[in-house]
Amino acid sequence: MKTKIYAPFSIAIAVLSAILVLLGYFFENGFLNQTRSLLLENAVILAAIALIMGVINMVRVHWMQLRERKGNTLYHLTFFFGLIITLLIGGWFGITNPTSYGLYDTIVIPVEASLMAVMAISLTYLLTKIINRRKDFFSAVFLISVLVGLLISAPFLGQEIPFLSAGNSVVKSLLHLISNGAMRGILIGVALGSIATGLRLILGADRPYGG
Amino acid sequence: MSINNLIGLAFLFFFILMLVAVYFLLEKRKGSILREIPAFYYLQRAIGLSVEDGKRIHLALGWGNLFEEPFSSGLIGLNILERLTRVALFSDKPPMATSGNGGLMLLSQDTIRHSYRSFGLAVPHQIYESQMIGVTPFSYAIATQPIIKDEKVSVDILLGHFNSELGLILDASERQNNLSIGGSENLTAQAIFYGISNFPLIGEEVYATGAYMGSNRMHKASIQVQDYFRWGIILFILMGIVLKVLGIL
Repeated sequence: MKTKIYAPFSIAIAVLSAILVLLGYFFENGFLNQTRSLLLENAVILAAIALIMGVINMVRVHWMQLRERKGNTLYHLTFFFGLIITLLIGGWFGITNPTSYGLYDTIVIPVEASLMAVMAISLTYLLTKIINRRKDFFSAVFLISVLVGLLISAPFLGQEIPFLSAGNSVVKSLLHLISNGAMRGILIGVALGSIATGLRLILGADRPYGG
Repeated sequence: MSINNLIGLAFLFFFILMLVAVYFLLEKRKGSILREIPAFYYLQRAIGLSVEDGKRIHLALGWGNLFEEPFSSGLIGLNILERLTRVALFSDKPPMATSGNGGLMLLSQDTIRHSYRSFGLAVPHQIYESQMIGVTPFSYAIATQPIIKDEKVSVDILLGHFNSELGLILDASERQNNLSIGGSENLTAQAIFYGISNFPLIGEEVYATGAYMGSNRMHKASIQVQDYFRWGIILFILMGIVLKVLGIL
């Protein structure tokens, strides 16, 4: 296997930066706090550069697909039209100008809201398929929980169901108690997993930067 | 230093200590320490089958930001990407990684590059293999749909930060009769995965992916330590309940 010459350097930089940021978080020390701020500021700049790289990648992909007549041509043209308009308006007026915000408020938000509506329908349809996909006890529990959750969260056909959706019903309180407990349990597992992932990075065991 | 910071630091120190100890203990231990999770069994099978069939594996890394906690599940996705690339190195259709964040895209490109270089192979142009396809959650979800449809994808692996827009990605996967496996640190996404995907990874199962996919010993050690800490937290909570009932707390 080939090993890159600069791999140990990238590992050292990543591990050292992670340790300094972590120590700066716990200790109130002038040097550590300054170093932490400096590293985070530089990371923000790098993230912005990464976003520009991402946009360049999008342009390349759409351009190549347009040339190769791959996929729907209309999608690619819409992408270029949107990108050019956004760059022109953002570049001319500045990104904090109401016109630039208007572009976002009048196009992006309504489109995403309509997608949300489409998704609600497709989610309901797909959820019914769980009966065919997994015929087990937990799927039945999941489906019943969804139905009961829907019934207690809003009145059914304009009518509040007694013992379910009405005010502080016992069923409602009991279900909130169970669901909150379950959510916390899952989140404890997720938090431990996140800590372990972070520590593997700090110890240099995980190297997503290709080191 | 505040008491909260002190507790946090002690917790981390103890975690690292346990991690290192279990890492060395695992060297002597024979046999598997992992319980069976069907999702990983089917994932390994699906990877092999898709390579044989000349189909593509789509890895959705989500749109987790580099500076926020949700990024951790994206890192797990990157770990899988390395494994996928190595398996499908000689396949006609290498795996495709999509992300909704520039940082994730660069890291996925680097991961693919690293996999090729480690086998002494020339690194291909990664225009299609690693893409940032949208910068908002819904634009990302919508942009995955033509990829799933047009790129001859047979398996969709979704590991990263998602929210309710995940429904649109899984809808596209379902329409193509693809196998979908995924998990996220987000609770809404976990509920959608459970309801719609073929093999959902719930809670900390996402973070076990590396260990199950044949990664290094450190992954297995970290799973073991997570288990110890989980039991510790359960005992701590139970103790708190008992003390509260007794009126001591």
